[in-house]
Parts: sequence; structure tokens; C-alpha cells
Amino acid sequence: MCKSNAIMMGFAAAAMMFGIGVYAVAVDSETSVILGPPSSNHWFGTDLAGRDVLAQTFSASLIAILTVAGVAIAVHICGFIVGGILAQTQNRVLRDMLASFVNYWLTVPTLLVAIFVMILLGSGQVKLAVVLSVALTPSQALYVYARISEAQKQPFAMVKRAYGFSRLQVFFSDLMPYVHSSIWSYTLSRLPEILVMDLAFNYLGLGVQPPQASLGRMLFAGLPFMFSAWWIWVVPLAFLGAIAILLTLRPYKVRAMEA
Amino acid sequence: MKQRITYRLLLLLLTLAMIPAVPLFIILSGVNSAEYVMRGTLNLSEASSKQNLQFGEVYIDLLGRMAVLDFGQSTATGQPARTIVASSLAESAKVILPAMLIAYVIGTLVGVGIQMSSLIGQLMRWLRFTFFIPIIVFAYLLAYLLSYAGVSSISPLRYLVAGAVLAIFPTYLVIQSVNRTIVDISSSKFFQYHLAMGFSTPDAWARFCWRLLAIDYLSFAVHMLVFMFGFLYFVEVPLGIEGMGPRFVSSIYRYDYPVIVGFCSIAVLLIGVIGFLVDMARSWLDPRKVYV
Repeated sequence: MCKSNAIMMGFAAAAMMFGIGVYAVAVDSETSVILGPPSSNHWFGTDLAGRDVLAQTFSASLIAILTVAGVAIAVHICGFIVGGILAQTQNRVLRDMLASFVNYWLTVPTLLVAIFVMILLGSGQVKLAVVLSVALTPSQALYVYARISEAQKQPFAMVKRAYGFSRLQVFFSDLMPYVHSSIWSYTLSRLPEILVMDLAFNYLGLGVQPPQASLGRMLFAGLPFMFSAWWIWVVPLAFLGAIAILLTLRPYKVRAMEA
Repeated sequence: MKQRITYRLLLLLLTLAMIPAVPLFIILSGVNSAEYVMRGTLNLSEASSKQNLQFGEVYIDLLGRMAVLDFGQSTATGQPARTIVASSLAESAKVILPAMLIAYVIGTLVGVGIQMSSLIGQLMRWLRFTFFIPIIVFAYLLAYLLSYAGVSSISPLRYLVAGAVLAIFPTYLVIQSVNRTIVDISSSKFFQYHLAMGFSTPDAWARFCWRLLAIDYLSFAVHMLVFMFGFLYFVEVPLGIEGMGPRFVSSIYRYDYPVIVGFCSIAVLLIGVIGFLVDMARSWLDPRKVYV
């Protein structure tokens, strides 16, 4: 996608969100009309509790976007720290053990393990963000480790080591700037994955708790009303699809760096 | 390689050993739902009188029961959790196996097609975003269409559709992997050497390079299973298939801890064992005997 198209899409999405935000503030979000069909007062009807579906979806989408952003930043930082330590470790046995653990973690049904832990810890979006960050950090660390190990073999890094610079000095002054753009790009490529994991937890009712709405809960609640009150699930589904597509279309500048 | 397999085995055992330890730690730290955990996960009939039990004693008891796959009885239905997990696993296999087949076949065909036709490559670039749309979106839309068309909930078509939806993202992974492997191998010195020695391209692939592609395929089997076990309920719940997904969801909503522990343990064990076997197969197939 070219730069102008990406900018236009970004503007269109922002304008749309702003418009729906204005609607969500202006609309009478709590009514006595349960499962009311779309009308001029409630553009996409009301849910089981008589709340405006579009306003609920808007608030749920904001929570989802904030969670995705927060988890992505946490995973980026933690992955950098763990991957950096892994790459800098001199002890070969320790490094092999850590690398084996990280590799193994990728073959564990992380989502199920995280759900198990979440059930025991109790529901809540903040707890969910923490559990997601912990669950996703090992794969991020593995990527960081691979990139730094590759960078360590570059001539500039070897020359600096030969000149007597310490490993830490070379790491901070040369390796970090060298690998940072690709790691940042990798983090951005994981945004849809984080969104889906957040959705998976909320679908099970382990994330956002009522009266706050979440896309997952809205979808689950809409399932018994697939035909009789289709608006309950269609609107969150459309928002979910749109957010996923927007997260997939990463900014032009990052794509250019990847190339 | 031996070291890698040993570590994998140790870590698998460690993970299984951690499963009963997590609720115990949570009870001891008093985080949440301790009563449910005691009555459910630990399946202690007289929870109040056993609260003074030592950590080690309870843990060994739990571990012993887990070793024989005894996860206790469902707090919701009274059935043994093991029976519930086994029956729903058999039902889910009807979705997972076709999904894996679809992902491998379609992924390979498209991956090879990209190499042969620039049009397919262009099409893939345009359609790339569809692979990142959460599968639940497709599952809901197709569930609506199937119900609208009057397809029964036990129809094989539902299983096929569920498999196809579950295969969407794994197909993308296979396409990317096949494509990259073909490019890497075709431009490698190893391949060029065989061409220079007089082998034709198909001959070089059939005699030497298939192993490298097979290693890639094997690696993906584990990652696919991880993905499919994790997101199974995204397709099974909307499409009305009584597999692991809906049972897992209902056990979570009912706080049915024995069933939850059963599902998690069986999934970890199954995927761990398959991963272990895959590692063994890779070590046998890989001519280089070294992994990066």
C-alpha cells in the first residue's frame, strides 16, 4: 500500500471513530427497550440489558485498542530485555538452557496455560494484560535474541570488539540501534495476534467485567440471538474485523524499513 | 540435538508438574477463589477439614492422580473429567485433522503457485490481510449462513466448514514457509552444487531437498496444533460442534476446575509428546543434524 493510501485510510478510520464517539456520547445509552431493533434513536438497536449496541461496541473497541497497545509495548520492552540478556550471556550452558526454554514455550499451548492461570487469578482486564505480556514475551525474546546474535557477527561489531570495546558498550552503542527497527517492526506485526488473544479471554468472560463491555463478551452474548437479534453480534463483529484489518495495514514507514 | 531433546523432555515434565502446583501456590498466597480451587481443582471432598494439609502432601497426592489421568469429577455434571475430555477430544479431532490437511494442501499449492506465477503472488499480497482477520469473524458469518440454509448441527458439512475456518491462519503460515524454503533452497550453494553436478532441478528436489521441506512441515505441525487447540472454541462454539471448545467454555463459566485442569493437562501432554516425536523425526530427517 502506498503512503498516501495509508494516510487516507488512517484519516478515514479516525474520522469514523470520532463520529461514532460523538454518537456514543450523545445517545441515550441506557433504555428500557430490551433487544430493540435498529431505529432512528438507536442506530444498531439495543442489547439484552437495553443498552445501545453501537455505543457499547465503541467503548469495547477503545478498551481492546488500549489493551493491544499496552501489551505490545510491554512485550516489546520485556522481549528486548530477555532477548538481550540471552544474547549477552557468556555461559554457554546457561544460554542453551534459556534458549531451549524459550523454544519450548513456543510449542506449549500458551493460550490454554494463560487461561488456566487467569481462571485461578480471577478476571480483570489489567490482570489479563499482565498475563498476556508474560505469555507473549518468550517468543519476542527469541526473535530479539536471533537478531542480536546475527548482528554480533557483523563486521562493525567484530571490529569494535577487536578494538577493545566491552560487550555491553558494543551492545548499547551499535547493536541496539542496528536491530531496533526490525524488532519494532516485529512487535507491530504481532498486534493482530494480541487482539485475537485479548478477544479469546474476553469471549470466556475473563477480561473486562460488566457493566463495561468487551467485544468478546458481546459476541458471546449475541450467539443465542443469531437470527432474532442479529444486531447484537453483527456490529461488534464488523468492528472487530475493521480493527484487525487496520492493525494489519502497518504504517508505510515501518514497511519501508522492513524492505 | 540430543541436548535439545533432553531439554524438551525435562521441560515437558516440568510443565506437567507445574499444573497442580499453580492452584496450590494461589491458595497459599490467598489470591482468589481459594474455596473453588480447593473444592474443584484439588477435588477434596472435605475441603474445610483438609485445609491444614501440608503443601507437599497435597501436591504429591494431586501429582499421583494426574499421572493416571485422574482429574477428579466434574463439579457440574458429576461425570469423571477424564471421560468428558476424552469424548470431546474425539469430537474435536474431526475438526482439527481436516484443518491440518487443508492447511498443508492449500498452503503447499499456493506456496508453489507463487513461485510459478506472478499473478498468484500479486493476489496473495492483496489478500494477505484476510489471513489476519480473527477466525471468529468467519465462524460467525458461516454459522449464520449454515443455519439460514438449514444445515443440521451434526452434519459433516459443519465439521468441514469448522476445519476450513480453523485452517485459515495456518494456511498462511504454510504458504509463507513453503515459499521461503523454496527460495532459500533454490539459491543455496548446496542446490547449485547438485545442478552443476548434472542433476536436473526435479531430480535434485526428489533426491536431496525434499528432506528440508519435510522438516519445515514437521515443525509447523506442532505450531499448528498449538494454534488450533488454543482457538478451537472460536469455531466450535458458533458452529455448534460439541467438541473441546464448547465444553471448555462451559466449564470456565461454571468454574468446573477438574474439567479445566483436564483440558489443559491433556492439551499440554498431547502437544508436548507430538513435539517430542517431531524433534526425533527431524533429527532423523535432517542431513545437517544441526539446528539454528
